[in-house]
Amino acid sequence: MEGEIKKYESSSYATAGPENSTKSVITRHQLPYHVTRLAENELIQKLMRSDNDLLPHILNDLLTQLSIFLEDRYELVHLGARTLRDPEEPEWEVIVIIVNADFGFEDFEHRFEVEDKIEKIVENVIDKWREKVHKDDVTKVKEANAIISVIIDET
Amino acid sequence: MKRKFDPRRFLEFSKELFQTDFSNDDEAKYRTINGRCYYAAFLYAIEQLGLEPEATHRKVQDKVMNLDRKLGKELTYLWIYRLGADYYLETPAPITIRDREGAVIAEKTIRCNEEEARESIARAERFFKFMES
Repeated sequence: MEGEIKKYESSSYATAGPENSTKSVITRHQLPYHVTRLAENELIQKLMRSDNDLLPHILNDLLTQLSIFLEDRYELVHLGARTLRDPEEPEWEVIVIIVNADFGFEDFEHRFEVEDKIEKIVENVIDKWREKVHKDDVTKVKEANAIISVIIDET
Repeated sequence: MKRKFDPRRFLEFSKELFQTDFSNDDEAKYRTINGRCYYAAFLYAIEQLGLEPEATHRKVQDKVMNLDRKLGKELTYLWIYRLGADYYLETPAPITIRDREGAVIAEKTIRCNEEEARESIARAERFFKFMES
């Protein structure tokens, strides 16, 4: 509802964004730092149009937490986010975060182990949002959880 | 009398197919495996979650992701490899992410090759293992 824009803050924005000395309150049409830096233009447009005002902030927190986790462990880290569609269901858009790093996988088990750690990070971010939003907004968190995936590939 | 097909048979069939030597058409084999492994997981999820048989990809993905992200992650990988198998005829096909200047900042490459087919099988096995537990 215009005029009653709920304001949320990406929990990591204050520490990871450029204005790290002040807390930034982000409104519906102001996308947070990591999203503007790491999301493809089409995704940015989608986020600007989205009725889910939490989506950019959840995505921002995910990108921030994933960056921290990966940069602590690997040398060559690249990540970004985009939308992906299925030609059989073109109105459905999935947000895919692609992560490239020098993982040095020995086998599938090693790869699955890394992926599971990454999924744990995603779960933690989603859980924190679930806890902090008003109960009316829990469905928006669930929607974000359903459409954001993290995919990894070796650098 | 009606019979019900068990979608897990797609995975068993894929494993047999993987071992089969077609000598000069392995890419068709790997693409078939990638496609069938996704549908094995997708159809099994529909059954196990009590969804209607015509449930969309979106509906299944939504349900699975909100049930368990580890499960959802396997379904997403299988979905992407199926997209590659069914629609990306030129390989390797990079799914790229570009910044505003057009530079690639991250990418996932779809290959439709032996390694990817083996991965699809491993992911479908994991999907069933998690689903059954």
